[in-house]
Amino acid sequence: MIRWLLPLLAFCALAALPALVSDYGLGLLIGAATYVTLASAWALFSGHTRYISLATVAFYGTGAYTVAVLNEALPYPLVLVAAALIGAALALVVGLSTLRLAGVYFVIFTFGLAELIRQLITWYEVNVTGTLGRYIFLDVTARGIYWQMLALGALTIGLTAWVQRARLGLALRVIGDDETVAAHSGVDLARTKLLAFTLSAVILTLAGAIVSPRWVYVEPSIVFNPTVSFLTVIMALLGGASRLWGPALGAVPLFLVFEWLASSFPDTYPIFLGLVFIATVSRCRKACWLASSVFDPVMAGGDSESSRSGGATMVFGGLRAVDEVTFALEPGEIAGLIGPTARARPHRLNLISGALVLDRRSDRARRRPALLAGAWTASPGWVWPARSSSSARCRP
Amino acid sequence: MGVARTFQLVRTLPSLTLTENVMVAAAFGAATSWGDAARTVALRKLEVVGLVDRMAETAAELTHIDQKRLELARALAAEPSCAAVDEWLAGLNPTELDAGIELVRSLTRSASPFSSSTSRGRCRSRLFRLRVLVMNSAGSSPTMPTDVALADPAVIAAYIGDDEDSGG
Repeated sequence: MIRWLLPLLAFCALAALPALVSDYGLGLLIGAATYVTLASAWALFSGHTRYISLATVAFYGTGAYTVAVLNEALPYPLVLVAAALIGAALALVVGLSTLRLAGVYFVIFTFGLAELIRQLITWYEVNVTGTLGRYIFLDVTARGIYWQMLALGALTIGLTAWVQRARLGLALRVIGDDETVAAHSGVDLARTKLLAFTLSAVILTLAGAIVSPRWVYVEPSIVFNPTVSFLTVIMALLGGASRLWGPALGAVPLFLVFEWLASSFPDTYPIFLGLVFIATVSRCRKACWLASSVFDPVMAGGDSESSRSGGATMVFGGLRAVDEVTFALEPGEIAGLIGPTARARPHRLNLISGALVLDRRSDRARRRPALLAGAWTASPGWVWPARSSSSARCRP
Repeated sequence: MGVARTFQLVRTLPSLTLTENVMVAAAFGAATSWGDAARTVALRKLEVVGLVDRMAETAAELTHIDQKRLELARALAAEPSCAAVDEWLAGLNPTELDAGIELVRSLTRSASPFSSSTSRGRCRSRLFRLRVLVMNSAGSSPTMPTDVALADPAVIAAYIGDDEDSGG
């Protein structure tokens, strides 16, 4: 009951907010609502499948451009319908051609896609229509835009909640964890990915269409700004891309920070933007599955199970797993390492091989920073230890 | 058709709970179910392999043998008519091996829709007292009792190599 009531009350409160704020405040509300919508829609596909898409702005810009082209030819509701249809068609074409790609190839392709669409439209406008910029004259007030965006954001979060409980959500999460298992379990990979990608893309396109009257003047370099794609990813990651409210919780504070930076330091703003990007990705490792899946193969689960150490002692919950262990190996000697739990042995081995170091200050084991590890193992007198894993870890 | 499989190198879904791991097969397998029905199937299969107490944990927290149990539960949850169990006993220590063999045995006793295949683990196949299907590129693929197969020079030649190959 409260799970439904609380968001509903919050939605009503947010809808009533424009009556209380200035024009500048309303602008902030529109921006925040837009990024909440973008980040949530992005996470609808990427949050569970872990396919990092940088095509957000391709759809967002397409939505805006659709309005710019059609705003005098069609009534406003029909323009929105047209934008949604164009977004869906684009997503289907892109999806069919890209979803076989995985990992970094998918990321680069989606980034290239946004650039390609921008260049195509620029070329078309310059060579065929002869004008680069377009004007949007629509009878939509700022409040109207805010309410539409608020509704779209609410719709996105509602849709995400539904997807997470549906078979589609489970299928997406299985794909995110292991596509081979998904295929062998009977998940229709292509259909599942395409469906989620298209749903996400339609919302992104609509967001661009709804917010476009704010620009009045539109040209490709404005609406296809790649920073929008990066911001969306960072926001969703900060809040937790696989969680229902994560993208929204990440979007609001980051949007406000960026707004403040842009108005306080108009010249040096991009520098701060870059710093915030770096800080977000390196700081929110626990919240972000991106970092945890890419950089954390050995300690996956290690951080979350509160592996504590004092001296060379490791304690899991109430269990003292590794207690002040020291030993020496003679050349040619073979020694067995026997541990009471399955978890203590890998950690002990990681401590020996140097993947973990004991942080005596915070009293826990942590991973050795990669840069330092190189210098550390290169120090004179160091014997390079190697380890294998009980579950084979090779690089296929 | 209804064939489910496990993997030689275990492939669990680390960020999903054990229940969800097994539900995947129930939700997308041959006998498709969803919601409470799928959950019930999942819990029943987890009980069979002895993991039902840990159903809320994520698969990332499991040890090697438990990951293998989980995979087995997932394969069974698809209600297959045949389960292909790819080197299910590989990489287990002797105690785990005994437990694993007993588990697979109990499955063949209790539920009819289970035929297993292990490859290469010669002594293990012997422990199972199964028929083996000997795949050899040169000839046809006869099935025979394990003891017979292991005494057959042609089988040994196919899997380990004959004297000329190994001589040296």
